[in-house]
Amino acid sequence: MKNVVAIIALVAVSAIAQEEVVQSGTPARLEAVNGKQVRVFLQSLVDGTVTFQAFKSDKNIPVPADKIRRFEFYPKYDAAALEQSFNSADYDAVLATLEPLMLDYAPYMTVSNNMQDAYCMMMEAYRAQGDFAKVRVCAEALAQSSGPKFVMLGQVNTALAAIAEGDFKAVESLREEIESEAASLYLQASAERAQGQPKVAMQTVVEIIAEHANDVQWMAPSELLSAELYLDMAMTNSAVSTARQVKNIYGGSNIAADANKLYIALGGESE
Amino acid sequence: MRFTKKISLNGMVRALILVFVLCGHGFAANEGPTPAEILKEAMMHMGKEEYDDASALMYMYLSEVEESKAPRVIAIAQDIRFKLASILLKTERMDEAAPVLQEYIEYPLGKFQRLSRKMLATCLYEIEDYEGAVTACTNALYYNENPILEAKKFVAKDDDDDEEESSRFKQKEEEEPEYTQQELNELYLTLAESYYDLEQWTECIPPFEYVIAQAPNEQRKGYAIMQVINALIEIPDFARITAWIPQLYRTSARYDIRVNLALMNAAAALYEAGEYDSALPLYRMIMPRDELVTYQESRIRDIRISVGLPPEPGAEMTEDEKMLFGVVDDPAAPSQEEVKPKALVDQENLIYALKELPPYELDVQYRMADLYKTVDRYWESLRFFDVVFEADPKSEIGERCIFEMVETLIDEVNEPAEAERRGFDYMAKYPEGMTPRQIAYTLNGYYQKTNDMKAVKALKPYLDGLVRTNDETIVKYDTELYFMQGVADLVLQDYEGSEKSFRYVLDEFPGSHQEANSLYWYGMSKLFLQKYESAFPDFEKYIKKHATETYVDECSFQGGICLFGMERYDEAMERFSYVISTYPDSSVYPEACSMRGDIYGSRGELDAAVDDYTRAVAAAKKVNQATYATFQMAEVYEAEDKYDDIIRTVESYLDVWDEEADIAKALFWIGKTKIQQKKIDEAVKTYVDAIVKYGSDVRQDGVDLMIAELVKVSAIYLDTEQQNKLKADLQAGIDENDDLTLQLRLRVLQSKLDMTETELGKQLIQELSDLENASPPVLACICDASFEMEDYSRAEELLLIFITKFEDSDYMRAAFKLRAYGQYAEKDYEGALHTIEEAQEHYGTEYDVAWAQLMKAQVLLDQGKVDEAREANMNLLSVPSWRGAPVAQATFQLGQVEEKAGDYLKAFGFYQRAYFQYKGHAGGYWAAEGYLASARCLKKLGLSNDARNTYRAMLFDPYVSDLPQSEEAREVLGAGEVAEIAAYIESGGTSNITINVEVEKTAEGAEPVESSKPSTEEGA
Repeated sequence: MKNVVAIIALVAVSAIAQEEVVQSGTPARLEAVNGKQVRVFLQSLVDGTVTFQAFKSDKNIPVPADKIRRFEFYPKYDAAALEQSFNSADYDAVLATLEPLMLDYAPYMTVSNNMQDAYCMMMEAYRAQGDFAKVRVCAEALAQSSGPKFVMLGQVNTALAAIAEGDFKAVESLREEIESEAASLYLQASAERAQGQPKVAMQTVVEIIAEHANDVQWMAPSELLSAELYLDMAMTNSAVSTARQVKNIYGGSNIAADANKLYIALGGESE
Repeated sequence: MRFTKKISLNGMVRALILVFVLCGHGFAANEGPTPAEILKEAMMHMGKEEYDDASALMYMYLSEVEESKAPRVIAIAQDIRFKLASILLKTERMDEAAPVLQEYIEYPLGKFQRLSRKMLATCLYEIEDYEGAVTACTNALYYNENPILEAKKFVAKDDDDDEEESSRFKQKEEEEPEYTQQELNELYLTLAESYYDLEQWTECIPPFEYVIAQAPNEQRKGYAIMQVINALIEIPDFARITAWIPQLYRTSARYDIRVNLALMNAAAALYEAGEYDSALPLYRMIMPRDELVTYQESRIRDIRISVGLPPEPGAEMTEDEKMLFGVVDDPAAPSQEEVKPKALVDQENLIYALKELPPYELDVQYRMADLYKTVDRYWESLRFFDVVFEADPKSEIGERCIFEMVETLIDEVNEPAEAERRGFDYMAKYPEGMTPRQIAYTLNGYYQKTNDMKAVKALKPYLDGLVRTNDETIVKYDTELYFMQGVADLVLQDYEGSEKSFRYVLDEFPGSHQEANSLYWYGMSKLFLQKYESAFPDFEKYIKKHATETYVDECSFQGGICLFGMERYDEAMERFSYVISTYPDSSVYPEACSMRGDIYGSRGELDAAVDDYTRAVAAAKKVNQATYATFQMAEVYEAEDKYDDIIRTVESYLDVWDEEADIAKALFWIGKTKIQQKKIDEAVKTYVDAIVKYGSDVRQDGVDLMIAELVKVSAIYLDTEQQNKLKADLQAGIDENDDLTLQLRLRVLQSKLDMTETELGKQLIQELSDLENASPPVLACICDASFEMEDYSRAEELLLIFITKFEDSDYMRAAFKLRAYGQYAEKDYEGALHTIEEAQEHYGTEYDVAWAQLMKAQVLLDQGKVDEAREANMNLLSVPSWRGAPVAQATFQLGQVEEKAGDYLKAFGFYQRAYFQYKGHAGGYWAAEGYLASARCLKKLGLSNDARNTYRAMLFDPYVSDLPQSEEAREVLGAGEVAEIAAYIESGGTSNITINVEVEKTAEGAEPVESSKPSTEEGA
């Protein structure tokens, strides 16, 4: 630990000393677990080791990833526009923005950073488009990160990819790792639906709605799943009604936008 | 002395005492203290936190210097006003603080213009002067933005101040910093709340929105959103509410008690307004009371600790707590009573209010369940109904929930099995009150809708288990439920059951809303059981007691049916005429016409019959009413050889009823007419085409009639070539159609033409595991084959199929016969007699049901009812259509009757008649039996020689000598004599053996057939 801190401290000093060096890699501000921060150019993250160059230095410095608290990247994109695209479920636009951007940042998603939210958006966009191979790549990276929120999203999406591939055993073992009961139930319902048991799945969704009504993170997708399950059971009026409620209750979110798409597809009238 | 108006009496007294005290401290009694001395003293008390004394002296000081124009004095006075206001606020003397602050603001040279305005707003809000608070907040916010302008305004007003003073004033004004964001948030919140309390809903929204946008605190933000929603409900503006809900949903405001209370009100208002999408998330956010109280009590604990109070009221802080929270003992502090800050008091009051609320959780859950149901989210609703029910099954709301569950499971999610499970379980556990009835009623409705009457009957044990009361509504439910039991019996054709069920309703619920209906169906049940005499008074009673009810016309008509059934034809005729004249628009009018037509027809009054049938056809409201009358009319026309009229009538019927008409039957009549008109080929083609076209409908009895007719036509009118063509056409029909029902019909028709019905029947027994697709001719074919094989294993099933599906089919007679023989074989004599009775009711004395009368006699004999057996046989002898083999058998059976009665001589007489008179019938079977039985009786009479002669006569009789029974005669006579008889017959000899036995004349008229002297004359 002292060594790493020393390295980072040294880098900070040398960054000041050196100038006019052509740099490659991904520029970032690195924050060590002790709070020390330094501007670096990230070269790679392989097998738990981050390699970087100090600002204006071409020397590669390896550091164990678990000694790094966080990266701060400097992406150039319109975050508000991206959020707008995501929340209106315009996943093509989301991917058009994020795919090129993430070429630089994706390798570092196991470490906490300011692009993880955007990375999650990209993962959700892949999922919405049914590209589960890419969902799995994103999800597995997030599942190894340190932030509980991203770990859970990674686990859940890994499980959703497994459901899409019909690997229900894997889903079961992943569910055991997930701390959020609502998320676990959501996966259970999704798996039950994928196995052609809409009534059983609906019971599971109802469990979420009854017991985790204020878990907004999982209530929204669960209620959207409820709408889809009603459709599976040929209860179209119920599906329309549920989709309408989801779009109204969770207005401004991508789930609401997804619900609105379903609502319109089922012949719902715009309100 | 502007302040004197505002100072409290207490303050004035205190000030006077202080003056007295000051005088006592060295001031000259006649001079009084100077303003400076008063000020000094006030400051001293303030320093010691003796706020009452300090404030009293400050008031005094201010009144002393009120008139001064000196800027310095004015500035000091302003400073004292501010301090006074601060003390008054601290001691919660809000009503005094407000005017002090007002003057501070109005006078020049106040250093804290922004702060004082904010304090004034708070004061006015606290004393519930909301209009004043609105003005104060607005002024404060305006001043914050425009301090220079405000100062100038003030300076311009004050002509006495010189430039220098103004400049200083301005400078001081500018020294005070602008409001912090937190202060701004507080001001906007006070402004919003003031508008809200003034019920100025529209005006309160913008300041709340400011707070929502700026407040860093999630709970405050949530509270402000909640208030916006409440205001929008009051406006009302539900569309804007929908936009706010998601924002509220994302905050943690749900832990705020006020938000929770407001959530309940807002959710209820939205629910009532039908704004379900908005109400739902609000309901979801409402926390259970216990959870909320626990959370808030922990907050109170935190507040108490933060202000140096023990964590629990009345408790001392432990040393650990003191160390932990850094609270030190203050020996000067009052120990007996806690001084609580306002925030703590407010919090405690809110918790108190919350605890005082009646439990609301189940109501919230129920409303959510109801809401989900209302918006078609049935699975969600079921879960919440279940939660409430399980929590409190006996409460009104719990009962409501179980009912809603059962209803939803049946009507909305198609889970009737689960509905039954829940419903039955509830009815068994909670047999009292309305709800089990409502559940039974719901289940009953579902069963009726799905035509599952057996399930309706399965409800009965639960109904019987319900606790009865005199509650009017409950009695009504019970009446209805038991009435439905009767209806189920009716539909199941369990007329004995329906008779009992309707009787039960009449007995248990006299005067009920179903009394008239029950009476009608009670009578109808009896009618279906052909209890005409018993049913008639019920219909009469209905007419008298319920003259204005629905079925009065029906009762008149059904009364006529009873009279008809009782063979009181004149009265029946009169009754049908009454119905015809009284109820021309009734649904029973056509049937009354048809019935009267039938009576006319039976009397040979054919024109009158046709007139009635014509009326029936014209008035028919249902196709079956027209169908019956039309074909009855065709029968009449046929009897009169009026074939053109048949064609006219049938074609008219087809025109009127089109697709609903019984086309096959119509074509049958058209074909029949063509036959009569000798258009045989046309008739055959009409039949074949119609059979192929309509033969796939198992219930088309017209097709079955055509099958019988084609058989006759083929035998009578067709030559071999035509017959072959017909068979080829039928085979083509079989080959070209996949429908099993049609194929079976065509195969049966083929077998009838080929005389191979029995073979086909045997084949079909093997072939058909179920008889779903078998039409009446097919069933009859199977019956006949079974009969021949003496296989009665499916007899009951076959008859039941006829009764339930083809009650009017002529082919049913084969099933009656098979069933009766089966029962007889099993020695089920009562069963056999019942079947015989049924068969005779259907077919009367038609030739091919003579077996029924013969079997009846035989059964009665087997039962030892000799007289009844004798009568049954004698009755048969008198029926013209049964002449021939049936009479031969009856004669023989009469011999058996007498033999059993021990009258061998009389028995001999009947047996002898069987072989004398009826040897030509039944292939000589009964004659042969007669010979043997005669010999047996003669032996019993000791007339062995006559017996031997009887055997001899039997071998001489060519009708019987080759039958198996003759072997007995051969055995008795021995080979030598038999050979002699054979040689004699071979040589052309004939016998004139006559056995004469003295037989008494019988009472029954079984006249002895021979003379009295036993003698034998053997021809040489």
